[in-house]
Amino acid sequence: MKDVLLTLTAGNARTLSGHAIMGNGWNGEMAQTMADEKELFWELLADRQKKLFNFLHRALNFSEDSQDVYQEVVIRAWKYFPSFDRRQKFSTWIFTIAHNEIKKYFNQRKKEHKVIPLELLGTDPPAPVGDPVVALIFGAARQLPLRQREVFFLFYYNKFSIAEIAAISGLRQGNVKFILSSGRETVRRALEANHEK
Amino acid sequence: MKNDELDRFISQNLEKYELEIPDIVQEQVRRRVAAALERPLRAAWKRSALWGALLAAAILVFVIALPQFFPPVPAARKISQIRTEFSIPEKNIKIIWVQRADFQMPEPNG
Repeated sequence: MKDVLLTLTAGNARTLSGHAIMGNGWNGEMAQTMADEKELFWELLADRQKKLFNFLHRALNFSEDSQDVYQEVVIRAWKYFPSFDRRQKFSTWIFTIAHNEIKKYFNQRKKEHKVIPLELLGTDPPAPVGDPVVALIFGAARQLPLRQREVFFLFYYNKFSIAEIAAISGLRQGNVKFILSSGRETVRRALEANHEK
Repeated sequence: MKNDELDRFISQNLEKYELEIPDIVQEQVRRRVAAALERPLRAAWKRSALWGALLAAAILVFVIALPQFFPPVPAARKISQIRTEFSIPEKNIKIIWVQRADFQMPEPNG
């Protein structure tokens, strides 16, 4: 995944300040700048959208709802992109939105089903993978609570650093390390159990 | 397996399986973005109408309230007469002296 640290002197940000200073045909040029901004958003997203989609798919236990959550994340990010702080990394920013949308999704689900009916339990589809080792890792990750599962995939799949995961999830770095260690041990136990068989 | 090795092993295996984003999802995103781009134009009309009404109401309130804060300054008064009274109660005398701007001294006879 390419990560571009945007600064105010780069690319479209420069266009934005340039147009604002010149002030000729301000409305038209601002509209053009806003269009450029949106264009930049799609360019930045293009490099990360597959990883984002797969992260959501995994964090939501391969549920089809992850498609809706993905849409929400992209739309929300698109809407708020003009206020995105260019000193931040785009990937950290959009995954923070993803983290919030996952939380929102589970809260809504909790509200809808104050008591989760039996038929809804365990209805998440199994990991659709053929490789038994990959399936085993997914199986182990699935046993983790939501927050731990998110941290697990952010680290092992999306390759974020511990500091970045802390920023995305709002956890302390110490907690992130603890969660990762617990996730690692869960996978280790699953692998050892499989090896013994 | 050491922690580092296990971390690499997990990462490599997780990367083996990746889904492509379904076309229908991409299409829905495009549609929602297009709809969101149209919406602000309609909302802008509503917003400007609302702001116009609010502004008119504010101007009206201001015009009505203006005399309360800035009452008209009355014109400078002119002294039309000066009245002075003297009283000597033990002699039962009261003198009232009125000075008027239009008072004319009577012409001495002859």
